[in-house]
Amino acid sequence: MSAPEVVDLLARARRNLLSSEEQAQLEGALEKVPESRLLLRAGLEFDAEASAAAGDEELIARIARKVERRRLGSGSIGARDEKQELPCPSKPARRFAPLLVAALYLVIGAAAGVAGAATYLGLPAATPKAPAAIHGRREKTPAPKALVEPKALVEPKALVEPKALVEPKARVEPMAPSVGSRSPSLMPAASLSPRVLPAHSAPSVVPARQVGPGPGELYTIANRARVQGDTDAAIRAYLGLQEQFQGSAEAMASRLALGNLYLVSGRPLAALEQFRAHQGGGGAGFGAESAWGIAVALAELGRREEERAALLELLTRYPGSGYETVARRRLEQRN
Amino acid sequence: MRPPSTTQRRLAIVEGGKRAEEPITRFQHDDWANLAQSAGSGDPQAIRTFLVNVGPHILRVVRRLLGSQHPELEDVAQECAFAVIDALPAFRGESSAVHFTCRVALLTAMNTRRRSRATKRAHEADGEAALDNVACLRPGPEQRFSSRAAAEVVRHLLRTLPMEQAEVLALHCVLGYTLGEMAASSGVPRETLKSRLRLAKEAFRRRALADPRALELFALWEEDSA
Repeated sequence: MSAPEVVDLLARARRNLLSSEEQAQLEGALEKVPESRLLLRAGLEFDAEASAAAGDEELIARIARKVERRRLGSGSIGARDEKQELPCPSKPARRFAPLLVAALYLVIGAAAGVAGAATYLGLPAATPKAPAAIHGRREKTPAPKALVEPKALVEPKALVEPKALVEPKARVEPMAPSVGSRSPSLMPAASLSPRVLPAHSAPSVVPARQVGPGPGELYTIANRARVQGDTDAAIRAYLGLQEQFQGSAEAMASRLALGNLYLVSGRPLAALEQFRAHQGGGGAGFGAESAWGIAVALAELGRREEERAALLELLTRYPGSGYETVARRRLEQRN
Repeated sequence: MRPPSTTQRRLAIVEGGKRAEEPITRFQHDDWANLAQSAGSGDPQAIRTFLVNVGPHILRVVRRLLGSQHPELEDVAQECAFAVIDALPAFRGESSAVHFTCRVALLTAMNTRRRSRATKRAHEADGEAALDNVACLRPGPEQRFSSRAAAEVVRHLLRTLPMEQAEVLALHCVLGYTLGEMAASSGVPRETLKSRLRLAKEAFRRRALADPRALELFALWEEDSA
């Protein structure tokens, strides 16, 4: 057996992908090259070190924030430490800071006085967004922009199609849409995938007071429908929740529930999409469940290689989870 | 001006200018390729999404290389994340995005360790302490000792070998890649990889023989090969 085949066999052995015949071949090869046996042991040690640990999600989120901050900064590529990234005021700046604050208060006070006088005299009050109104010019007030949703993590599939990045709809949500404004059951499958939302921008428009059920209520409605066996209603409610409150914890949790509903309903592709979105969002404490869901959905779709990869991912990312035994058994069956 | 062909592009990344043996083919079935390209173009949402999704892979690489209890794990992982994002514009889809990410993270982590002598000393001390503790681990302390000692030898080699050999040893032993995956992610021909790996294995043997801590390792080695 040539050396490169041993290399490949070693790699496959570490992934638990060897057939019994390959196992025998590898044993024979290792007899001849003892350092390969030691390298295999070292490799297994490396594999053992690579397990996920508690708090990984937070750690990754922290790193992602730092990367964002660096990119948003003034191009300081080398500024990799938080301390370095924060602007440090110079000595003169520190000296004049109280004066600047006092001046700011004076300006605000003066502005408030002008506004009060204007109200008293019956003039239209000036707003920071419409400075021209102070001078008597009427400006057309811009229609409130659509509410920009807070941070949301999206499934990679949402980005697979380049359209999702350029479509305005993919970036904004209509303000407080009514539940019945769009029937979720009529939505195409692609619209179910999470949209690309600004990761760090604050809402540019203060949302109006919400009319209709909030995310918690929608989630409760959907769960009730699911428990009562009304699958269609549950699916509609989960989709509505995901559409209206995309960044909410309820929407994230609903992806797992909806994925399982799709699986039960014999729609593994839609289930896969939901589970992947759930994984993409960090799993919210139930990452092992959605990782298992991915493997099951792929099995139902007949995508064996991807299923195997998903099972390995589950075992690596969530060692000791409740799915470990069954995942290993499935892997053995696949081999 | 015509854009460079894929073969020309590959020649640019093959060290020593050797011609690649096989033409580049775009990696198939890569869910992350488009996301990686969007992130490489600077889209902040794509960058965030990409980082959150490849973050576990980066952490895994760093843990393999440094050990899961290493005090600088987060710092090195952060360095790797920066390096991955900086490298994404060069991603051409010749390997999977995850392989690309893992290789960049691996090289960054290796470079970080090579740069920091203090880290090296601290880590060697950690390694000794860890080896001292192995005897009380059950079951199979001999097996654990053997594995840990071998891993320590590999880690030492990653700091001292020439970069090309260290890279191929790390791709094979630390990340567990097949030859095909190594070739795809590094852009180096298979024959070159095999040659480098052979040299790295010889260095592994020499280092293991020269390491006083590895005496027991060799005793186990003899038992294994007997």
